[in-house]
Amino acid sequence: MQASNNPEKFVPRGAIAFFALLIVLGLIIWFGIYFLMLSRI
Amino acid sequence: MNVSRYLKNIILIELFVPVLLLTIGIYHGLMQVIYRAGVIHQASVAKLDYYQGLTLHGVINAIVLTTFFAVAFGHATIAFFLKREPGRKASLLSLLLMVTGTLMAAAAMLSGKASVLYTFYPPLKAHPAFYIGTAMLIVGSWVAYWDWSVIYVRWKREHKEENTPLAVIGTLVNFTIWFVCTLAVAYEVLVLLVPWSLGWTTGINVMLARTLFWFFGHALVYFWLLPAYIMFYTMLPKLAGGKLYSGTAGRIAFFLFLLFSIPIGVHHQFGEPSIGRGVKLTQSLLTFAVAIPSFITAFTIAASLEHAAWLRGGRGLYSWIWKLPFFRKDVFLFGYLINGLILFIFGGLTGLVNASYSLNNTVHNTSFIPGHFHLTVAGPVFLAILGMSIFLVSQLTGKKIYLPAINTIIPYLWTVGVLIFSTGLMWGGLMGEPRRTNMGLTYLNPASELYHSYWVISSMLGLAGGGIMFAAGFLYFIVFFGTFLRKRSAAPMIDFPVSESLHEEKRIPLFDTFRPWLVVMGFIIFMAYLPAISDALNNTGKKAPPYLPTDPTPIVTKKP
Amino acid sequence: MIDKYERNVIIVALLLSALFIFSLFYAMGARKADVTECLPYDKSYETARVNQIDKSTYQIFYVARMWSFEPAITYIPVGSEVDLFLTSQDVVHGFDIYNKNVNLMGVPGGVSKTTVRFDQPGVYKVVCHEFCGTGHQNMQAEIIVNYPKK
Repeated sequence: MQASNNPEKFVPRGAIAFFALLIVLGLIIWFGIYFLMLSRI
Repeated sequence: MNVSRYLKNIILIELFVPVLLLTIGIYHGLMQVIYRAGVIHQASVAKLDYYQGLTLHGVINAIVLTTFFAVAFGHATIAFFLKREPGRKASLLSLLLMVTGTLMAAAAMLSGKASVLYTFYPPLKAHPAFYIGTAMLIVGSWVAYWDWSVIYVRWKREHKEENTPLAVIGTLVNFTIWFVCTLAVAYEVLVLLVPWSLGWTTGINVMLARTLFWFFGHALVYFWLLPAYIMFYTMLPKLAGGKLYSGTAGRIAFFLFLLFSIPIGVHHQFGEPSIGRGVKLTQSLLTFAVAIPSFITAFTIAASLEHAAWLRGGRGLYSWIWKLPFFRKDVFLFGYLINGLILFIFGGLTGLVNASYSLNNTVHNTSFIPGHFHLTVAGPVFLAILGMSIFLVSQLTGKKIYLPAINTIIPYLWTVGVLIFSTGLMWGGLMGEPRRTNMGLTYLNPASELYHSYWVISSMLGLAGGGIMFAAGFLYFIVFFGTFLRKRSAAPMIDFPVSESLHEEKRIPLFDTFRPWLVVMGFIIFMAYLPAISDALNNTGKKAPPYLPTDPTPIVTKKP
Repeated sequence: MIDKYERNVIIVALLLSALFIFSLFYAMGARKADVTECLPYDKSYETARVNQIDKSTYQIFYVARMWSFEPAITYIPVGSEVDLFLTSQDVVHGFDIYNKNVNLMGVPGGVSKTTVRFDQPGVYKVVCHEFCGTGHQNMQAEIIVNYPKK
């Protein structure tokens, strides 16, 4: 195990940040097209 | 590990044949964007018609290449991880069926008698050789699957307490999905289409045929994708110099795919008659379930890569990224896989839009759809196939890669091309630009009264991106065939990079068995598809005679 | 059994799906945003025609064939609500109205239906977006809203 040799514990902060951005991008793309669809009704 | 000469040759043929055909597929990809952007206003170039080329592009790239690769990679995975080679008779029979079927379908398409696109929607009729050839290709892949299943069951009997390798779980999940979904298309082809195309039956229930096609059609995309997922989970962390953040996540993802890959096909049919809104809504909601494993994968792979960079001293929220081996020749597969993942961010999210019930009205059958699926099938899927084909050829022939520096650049060039191409197509699609249309003849021909100036810039972006993609594809062919032509410098072998798990993981019996998952899979498919099939049968008013794409009168009326 | 971050990822992904699904139901209820309606087929749908139900309600029965729509040009007053019906006489066709929330498939033996309001005057182009043979790229129609003025 890595953590036992190394006092620092690995926390996937970057991956969490990436996932947050992924969700934000998903919201932008999805709602962008959602409101485009509503504007065409 | 060492591989027998026999298996080595089987795998090499299964890589060489589709890549050779891919030259035709990619040529027609380039021609597509040239026609569509209105650079030429012609129905055909070099005696190959636009729609004939589109059929070749779709069938070769999306069916032939992907199926051959999945079988070749499956052979390698089973042999490498279970230390047992697939049966000789089975793998030879599978190869012969696939090659013969492909040649039949290719002959029908190249002679212009099967210009019905890869979805082969009736009542457009192709030459029977096209349908039979495609069916043989599919049946050939079944033979390999049956053989691996037997090997797995025997292995499991001897290794009851040992966790089945993740790559083997992935391969078997993938081919189980494939086998179940292709049963529907095999029924469509062999029972409905072939007798009808031979003139033995006069009419076909078009909605039934389409529903059966899409039973297969969406699961097909997971069949393309799962070999890439296997590489993301079992190889990418190792290539990056780290470990897999969580193997359990991979198992959960694969089994979720098994459950939800098939009962969502109606989300391709939101615009169609006969199928009720309740069925459409149900399958739209089920599509959200199949997005979950991809969200898990996005996080797990990102965490694995961050861990690899962390081991090399990478810290911070994002600066660790520069510690990853983007251009290292010895781990060139990393470049192919990471670019696939970057494209899949956009491909996956736009896919959610397509499957979202009423949102589909905005995108259905517009160029948004090819814009989307070039971010998936021409993204993670295609790049994984390119990278792994070079990797396997180099190892199995014992030859060094030709032009290794170029080889590391290909995926980046391709990715830039796809991003530009898909931006153009998706933007055009939101403005109503139709897919599968020779727009150079009318909508983008200033001399035509149908000229549609809104689509000029978007289709030009498609052309620019398509050109870059073609250049990357061309370089790939040089590297792939160049490697074949080099002199042997090592013994043939298969040696996959294998990712260990970061945390020690206990074997969870539920994630190391197929039986309960298969039962649930069958139940969900049954519940989702019974009403769809019944709607298609009950609400469709008449059967349709066959038509040739060139002629508005049906074929049967011409016979006395 | 599962890493706590991964558990949170699954929860967030489920919440995101729930938000999307809620929005879809909202659009369906409040704005009538829906997909193609399924109707039982009968032969009368193969006769192309335009019916005026009242002052601002119309029905258009489209028939698609290789390679045209009938009626090819329709005149509708601005502010009309139109029920669109579509079937095909031969192969599968598509029906997409530029900049409107109408996207149907015309399938032989089936009837697609949707409802759309035209609040802005203009020429609305209809494009066939499903491959239907060598003349596919010529196949279009027009809905002309508020012209000529009556």
